Amino acid sequence: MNAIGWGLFLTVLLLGWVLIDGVVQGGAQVARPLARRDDPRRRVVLAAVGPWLLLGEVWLVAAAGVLLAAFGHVEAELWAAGYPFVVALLCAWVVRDAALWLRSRLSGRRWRAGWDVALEAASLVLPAAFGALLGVAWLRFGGTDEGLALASPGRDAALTVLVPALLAALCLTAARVHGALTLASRAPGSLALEARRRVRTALVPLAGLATVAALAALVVAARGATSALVAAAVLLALAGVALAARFELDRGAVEHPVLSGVGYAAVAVPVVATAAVAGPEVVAAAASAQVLHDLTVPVLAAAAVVGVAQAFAWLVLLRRPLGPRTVVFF
Amino acid sequence: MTAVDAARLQFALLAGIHFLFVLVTLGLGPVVAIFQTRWACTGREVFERATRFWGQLYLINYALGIAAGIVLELQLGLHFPGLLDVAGGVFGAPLVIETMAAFFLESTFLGLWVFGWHVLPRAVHTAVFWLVVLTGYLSAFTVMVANGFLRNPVGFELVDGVARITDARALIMNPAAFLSSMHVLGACLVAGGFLLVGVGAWHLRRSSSRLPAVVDAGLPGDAMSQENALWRLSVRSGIVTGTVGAVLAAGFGFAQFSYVDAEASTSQAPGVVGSAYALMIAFANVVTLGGLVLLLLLAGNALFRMRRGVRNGLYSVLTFLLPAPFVVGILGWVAREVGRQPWAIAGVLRTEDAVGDASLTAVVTSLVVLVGTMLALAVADWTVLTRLARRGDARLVLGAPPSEVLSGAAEPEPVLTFGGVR
Repeated sequence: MNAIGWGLFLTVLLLGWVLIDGVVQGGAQVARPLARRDDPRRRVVLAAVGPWLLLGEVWLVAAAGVLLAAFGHVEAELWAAGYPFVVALLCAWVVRDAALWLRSRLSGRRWRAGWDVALEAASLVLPAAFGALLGVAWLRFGGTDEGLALASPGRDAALTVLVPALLAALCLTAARVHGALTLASRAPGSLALEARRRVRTALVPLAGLATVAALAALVVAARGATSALVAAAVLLALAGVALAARFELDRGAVEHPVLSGVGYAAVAVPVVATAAVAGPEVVAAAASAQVLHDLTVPVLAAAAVVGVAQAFAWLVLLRRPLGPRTVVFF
Repeated sequence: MTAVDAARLQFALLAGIHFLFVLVTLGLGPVVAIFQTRWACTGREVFERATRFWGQLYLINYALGIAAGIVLELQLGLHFPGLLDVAGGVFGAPLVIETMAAFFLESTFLGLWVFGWHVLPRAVHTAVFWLVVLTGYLSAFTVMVANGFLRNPVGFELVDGVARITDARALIMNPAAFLSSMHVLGACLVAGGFLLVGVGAWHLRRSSSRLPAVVDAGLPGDAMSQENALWRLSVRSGIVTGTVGAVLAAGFGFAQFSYVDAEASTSQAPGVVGSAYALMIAFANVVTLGGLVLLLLLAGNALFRMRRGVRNGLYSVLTFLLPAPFVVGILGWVAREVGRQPWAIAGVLRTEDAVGDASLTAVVTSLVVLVGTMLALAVADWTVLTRLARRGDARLVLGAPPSEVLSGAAEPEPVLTFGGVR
């Protein structure tokens, strides 16, 4: 597999993470408003998104592994430029995991309330930090050799703040829509109704953020990364889909292709856009052809086995609505 | 303190925290798998209880183990980019296999195990947990291949200062990977054994050995209470596991001196490495001997039938000793990593040349944030583990029907009937 193949592989792994783990992040974001103070209701919410946790977070671990082995220089540069975001991402990740695993183990009211706050905060920071890192990737690997040293330093200084902030907000909102939509289709009765309401309020901000991000992509394209035009296109498309979904919800639609697709599109588009913006430079900075060649067979073989195992797990766990045999562990 | 020291300290602390969880995951995993297999084969309730009780502790421990491992994975890129620049092509290979093959599968199977409890057929469900154990061990082995390369670099060549693999077989069969993996495996089994024995003994000391109804009726005989059967099973399994582990750890521990130059390692920090070696050897001997004595005492259940005072004293000691293998396990890593200094990759790359150019302030800040977070979470996790271990097999959540878990509700709302109302 050549560098482009590895780049695509990395993109697929990141997509896997946002699509699966995004459900947990978004579900946890809306768990408090949905459950209010009712503990069993909250546990139903957590049971609805719980099976996604173990299946999802490994995708980002695998992506980090591929980044380390095939794009070591990219990783080093990205971590150096986005150091605080990496630390925030790690902290949010471990706090989120611990909160999910530990909250329901003991029954003290303060114990559970404390972990609920931690879970919600971490589920906001996690997608935001990931989005901010995507933004850093836009700036580091989107055109201009020196990263930011360009003719007008003022504009670029603004970009270094704005692009990560913008993508952070976009990823956060996207996860919210994705998680709440999954709850709407899996959770019973009143929970589904409330979840749909959260989706509705988040869709317009999502469309707005996607539009502004498309403009930012155009600016990056002007700096020399022509491929950012693709990013602008997919981001605009996302804005359109989000508005269409809002329209369908306002009409009272429950089942509609736009509604079932908007969550997936929302979390996937930032990753796809980043692949478009940063892809060419990231691929150019890949490890030597020899290293890539040596890794190809073992990694692809592993990916095939993992694919089978994950597909089996999805069929067993995720395709059935909540029912008497649903495991309530979280 | 320089940024190099801070980066090393951060890595050491995070690796230490991670390893405490690994000891339990790898040590308890096969035991839970055997419990479940026996449950699947015999259908006896005591094995179901053992699977669910120990499986729940396994999970709570695993949760933080994953988290700590994730933080650790990104440490290399964050603070030791030089390691990747020089040896990314060699060192990265086992790590990418670890994440792609082993850990990815392990987590997928564990998800299937927990959330497929009432869905999968019993035999498949049991097989899934064996796959969790197997992939967990594969994961540990690949990490040891990476670590073994640092200690004893083989199967590579340096071209323009960049290492590349020339002999993948030598890299995998590296004694520093293979022998040390077996040594670590032994240490993990010892830890798992101490945990089983310690918790089991704590409960045995408190639960009556005979069925309350039999006692009330004033009847003789030793019909066992159900709890007692579970804790006896735990103690027996723990003694076997711990003794096997001690023999493995000691045997492969000494075998490691085939490639480790003990004198050179000790000279790095005689106080630390030397005493760590001495303590590990003494501990392995004591555990092996003690394990053999306890094994003999299992004949005819003598261990559980000794005079009450003697028995309870022994139970207390066994519970008190529970943390010992964890302390010794950490010492093992201290000896290994300190003994390699000043090299990051022995003879190839010095640690000070592998560290990135992050400022001291940045490294110390992330140290405080990450280590602080991990420590706080670890303490919370151990608190939960202790409480659940003490609670025993009452109110087990793992494998319980959902209606039972949610029965704390004041009044059953329609939402709780699960899928009833749409």
